Amino acid sequence: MKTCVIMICGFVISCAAISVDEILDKSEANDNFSTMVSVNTEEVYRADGTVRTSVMKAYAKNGNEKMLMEYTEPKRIQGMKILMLNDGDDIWFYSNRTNRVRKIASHQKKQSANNSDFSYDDMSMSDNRKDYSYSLTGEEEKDGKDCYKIEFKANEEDQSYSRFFMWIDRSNYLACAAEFYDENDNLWKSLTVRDIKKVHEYWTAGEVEMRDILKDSRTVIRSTNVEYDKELPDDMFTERYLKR
Amino acid sequence: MKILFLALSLLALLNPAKSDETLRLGGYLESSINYFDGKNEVTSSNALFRLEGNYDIKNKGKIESHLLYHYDMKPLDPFHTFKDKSIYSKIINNYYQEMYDGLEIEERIVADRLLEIYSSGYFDHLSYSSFYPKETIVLDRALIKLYYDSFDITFGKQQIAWGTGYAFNPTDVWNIKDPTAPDASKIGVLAVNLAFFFGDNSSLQIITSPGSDFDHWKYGARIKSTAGRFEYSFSGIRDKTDDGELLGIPEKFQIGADLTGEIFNEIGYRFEGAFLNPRYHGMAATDTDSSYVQFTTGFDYTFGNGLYFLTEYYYNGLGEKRNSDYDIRSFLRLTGGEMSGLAENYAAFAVSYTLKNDYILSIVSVCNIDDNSAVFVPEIEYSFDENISVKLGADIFAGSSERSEFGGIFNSISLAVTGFF
Repeated sequence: MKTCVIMICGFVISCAAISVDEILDKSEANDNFSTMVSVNTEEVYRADGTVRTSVMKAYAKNGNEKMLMEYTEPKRIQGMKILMLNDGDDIWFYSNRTNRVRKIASHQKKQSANNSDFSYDDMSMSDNRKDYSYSLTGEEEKDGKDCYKIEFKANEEDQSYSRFFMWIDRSNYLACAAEFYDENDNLWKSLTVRDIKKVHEYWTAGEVEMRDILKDSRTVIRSTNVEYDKELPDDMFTERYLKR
Repeated sequence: MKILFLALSLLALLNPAKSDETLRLGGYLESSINYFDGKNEVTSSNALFRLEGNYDIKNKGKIESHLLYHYDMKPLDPFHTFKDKSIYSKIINNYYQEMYDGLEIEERIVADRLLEIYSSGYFDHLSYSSFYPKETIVLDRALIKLYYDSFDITFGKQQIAWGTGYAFNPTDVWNIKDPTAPDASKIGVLAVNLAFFFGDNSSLQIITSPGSDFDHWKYGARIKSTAGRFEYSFSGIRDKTDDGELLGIPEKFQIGADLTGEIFNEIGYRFEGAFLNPRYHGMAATDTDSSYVQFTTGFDYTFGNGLYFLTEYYYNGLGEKRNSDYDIRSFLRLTGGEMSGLAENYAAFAVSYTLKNDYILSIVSVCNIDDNSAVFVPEIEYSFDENISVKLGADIFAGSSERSEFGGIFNSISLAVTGFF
C-alpha cells in the first residue's frame, strides 16, 4: 500500500487541488527523490502483551520504483532481504539460511511481512488507482489535521481489501491515515502516520502505525538516519545482489 | 570444538574488520525430542549447534563458513521407524536373506551369532549410553566467493538449490530432498560455481562438483530468466558420482526445465520437469532405452484471510506402479536421491495459517496415489522471543501397514526449541 511506504519515503509540499486525481497526483509527486536510505525499527505489539522488535535497512531508487530492504535484527532473520521492483509489482524474497531467492506471487503479497501487521502488499508500492476505483468523499479533520477523505473500492474480489479510506493532509498532500476493510466489510486495519518532518528538501514520516483490529495487535515502524539523493548503484537492486 | 569457537570469537574481537570489510558471526542452537509410537515406544533426542561466519569484502568477495555440531541420542538401528511387516522391512529382510543364502556354513554360524547378539536388546541401549560416541561435526558451508563485473565465482562447499517445485525438485541433482520437509535447509555441496549475469535478473550458472577422478565429476549448467510475470530456466547435467558407484546408480544425462508464475486471478503456478537418460553398463551414450521423465506441477494461493494453500502433483518415471514391485533397487534409488518416492504418482498439499499472537499452524501432506497411502506432517510454531522459537510437530502415516509406502512407518511426535544468536 502506497500509504504505508511513506515511512521510508520523502514528500514534497504542494499546493491544494480539487479533483481526486489531482490530490492523488500531488500526493504521489512527493516521492520524486532519486534515492533514499533509512534505518527502520519495527515493533510488533501482540494481543498477549508481548513485543517483537526487528530492524531493517531500506534503500529506494527513482522514487519508489526500486526498493531493497535488509533485516539486520533480530539474529533469527538477520540477512533476510526483500527486493521490490516496478513500484512493488515484482517482489523477491531472499533467505540467507537457505541461500534461495524466491519471487513472491501476487497472492502472497497478502501474507504478513515478518509476522507484522503489514502485509507485503502494504509494504509495496502497488498502484492503488489501477486496482481500486476511487472517489473523494469529502473533507474532514483527522488527528487534528484538515484532510481530504478518499474512498477506494476494489475492482476485483481478490484484492487485499474490499475497500479502504485514505485521509490526505490538505496542507502538504501527505497521506496521514487510512482504514482498511476486509471482504465482509468489517474494519480490519487502521494506519496512522506521525512525526512528519523535513529531511533535506523532502517531508518524511518518522513513525507509521498499522493496527490490526481483528487480531488486536499493532505494528509501529520508526525511521531514523534518513538520507536522500545519495548515490546507489543500479546493480544493488538485482537478484545477484540479494545473494551477496 | 571449544578451541575452534574460542579462536573464531577471538578473531572477531581482536581483529576488527576494515571499514569496507565486515565480519559477522551468528547461528543457532536447536534441541529436540522425538517419540515414536511403536511397540517399543522409542524416544530419541538431539542437539544441533550451528555457527555461521561471514566475512564480506565490499564489492570484491566474501568468505563464508558454517559449522554444524550434532549430538544425537537415537537408536543404532537405522530402520527403527519401520513396522515389522512393512514394505521396507520386507525389502531389507529379502536383501539380507539373499546375502545369507550366499554364505558358507561357517559364515552362517558367525552371522547367526551376530544376529543373536543384535536381537538380545544390547544394542537398544548402546547408542544412548555415555560410552557411545554421539557427536558429529559437519562443515556445511566453506566457500570463497569472488565478484567480477559480469560474473561471480564461488569455490568450496556451498548451497545449490535448483528448481521451482516445493515438495519435489526433479531437476535438482545436487541435493536429496525429503518431500515431507520441503523447507529444510540443504547441506552444502563441494563445487566450483561460475555465475554470469545478464540484465536485472537473468543468469547462466556453470557448476562442477569433484569426485574420485575426472570421470566421477558432476557437471551442470542452468540458464535462468524472466518473461512477463513468469520466471523460467533450462538446465543440463552429466551426473556420475562416487555415491552412485556405491549404490549401483549409473551415470546419467539430464535435461531439465522449470517455470513459475501466475495464471488466472493471481493463482501461483509452477512446473519443473526433467528428461533423464541413464547409461547402464555396456550402453552407448546415445542409447535411450532406459530414459525416463520426472516432473512436478502445481498451484498455490493465499486467501484474503491469510490462509496459504499449495498443491503439487509429482510423476516419477522411475517409480513402480504396483506396490509388489517395490524392491531393494527402488529403495536404493530413493535413498540415493534419484527419486522422491517409491511409486509413480504422488500428490502433495501444504497449508499454513498465522493464528493470533503469531502461532503459525502448518500442515504438509504427501500422498502416494498408486498404493493409497499418505503422510501428514502438522506443526505449530510459536515465537517465544525474537530469537527463540518452539515447534510442536508430528509425522502421521496412513495406509496399509504391509503393502504401502507410508503405512508401514510408526507415527511420531516431536518438540523442538531453537535459539538464534
